[in-house]
Amino acid sequence: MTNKDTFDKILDSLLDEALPIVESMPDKNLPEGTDAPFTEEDERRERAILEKERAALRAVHVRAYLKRAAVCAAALILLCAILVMSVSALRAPVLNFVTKTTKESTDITLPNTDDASTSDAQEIYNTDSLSVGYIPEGFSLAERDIKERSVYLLFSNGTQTFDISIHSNNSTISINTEDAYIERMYINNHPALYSENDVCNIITMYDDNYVYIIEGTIDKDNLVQIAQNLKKY
Amino acid sequence: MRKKNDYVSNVERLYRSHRALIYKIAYEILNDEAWAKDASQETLARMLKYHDKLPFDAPVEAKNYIARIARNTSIDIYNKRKKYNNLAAQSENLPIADNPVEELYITKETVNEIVEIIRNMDTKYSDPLRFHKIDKLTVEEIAEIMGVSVRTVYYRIEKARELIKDELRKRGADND
Repeated sequence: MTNKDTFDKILDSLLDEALPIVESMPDKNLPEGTDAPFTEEDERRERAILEKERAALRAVHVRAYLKRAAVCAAALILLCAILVMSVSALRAPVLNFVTKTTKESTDITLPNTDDASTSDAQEIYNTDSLSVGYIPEGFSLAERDIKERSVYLLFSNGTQTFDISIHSNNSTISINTEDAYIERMYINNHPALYSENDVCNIITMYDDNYVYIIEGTIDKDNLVQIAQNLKKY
Repeated sequence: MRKKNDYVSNVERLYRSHRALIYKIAYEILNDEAWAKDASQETLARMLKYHDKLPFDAPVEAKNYIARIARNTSIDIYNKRKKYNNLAAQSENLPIADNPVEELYITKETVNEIVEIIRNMDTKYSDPLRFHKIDKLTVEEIAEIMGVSVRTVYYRIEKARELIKDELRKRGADND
């Protein structure tokens, strides 16, 4: 370090001591304040400057509050998520809500849009044009009904039921597949859809003229076997 | 202690209590009523911008600080309107003398002498020194207030130090 550097350091420390003293004394030759000729317009401009600064300060405060609120909300959501996920009774419904399929029904669109009339359905029934070649053991016909454009047969064994319905080719039939397992398959070379949920199991298949629906509380194998042995003459 | 809470109201209070002084300083430099009012309002804007440097609780220091802001704001406006012919550009490029250190003596009176030298110094040099050392403004901030380049601010601060050294040297020689 040179002598100049040493002296500069000393001068700096002297300045650090002297400048506060200078500052504490009124500056020399400051003019005495007099009434300045400020008008209403000048006052307005000054107020505008101050208001602009206040508005900027409010914006800063609002941003700070919003940031804090966002952090608190995020922390609260995280805490709730941890709480929910740690309780099994809450976890399952939440996960089901988050992950469940939005498709509550599955549509099968049939190519033939001709209307089937009641007489068509009666023709199917009255001419014995339907043959149910397989009925699971213990089941017997409990109900039958001819509805508009459909044939309905209900089988029961006292504790379980299934029904067979046949509809003429319509445009679209909706099948309830909410919370269901879905499987597409072929039965007798006809496209079919198998749907399974906690309530019932359904097989739906169609050919060029009709759609066949076998629905009930019996298992899949029985439903498939019924469908395979279902004949429309 | 320098207050930060509700600084707008505090700045407004200080400004209103020194507005006449600010105007007088500005008018002495600008010699025009409208320009002096502009300078007063610009001083208010700069007081708001550098509010954290304002010594709200120290009346004398606050007055000195405001006077410095007002003075330099007025000079800046004057320079920008190209009517100030006495801008020290002529002396800005002079090399700073580097006199031998052994000619300078430091005594217990040196601090008081430095106080007096600074108070009598051209404000063009003492203001940037005080802005920098007392108000802790950065060189860039000082340049903005004074309306000069950063390089000029550095030069003037160094020039102030050299003027102090020169004066101390002269007084030391006079005392011999």
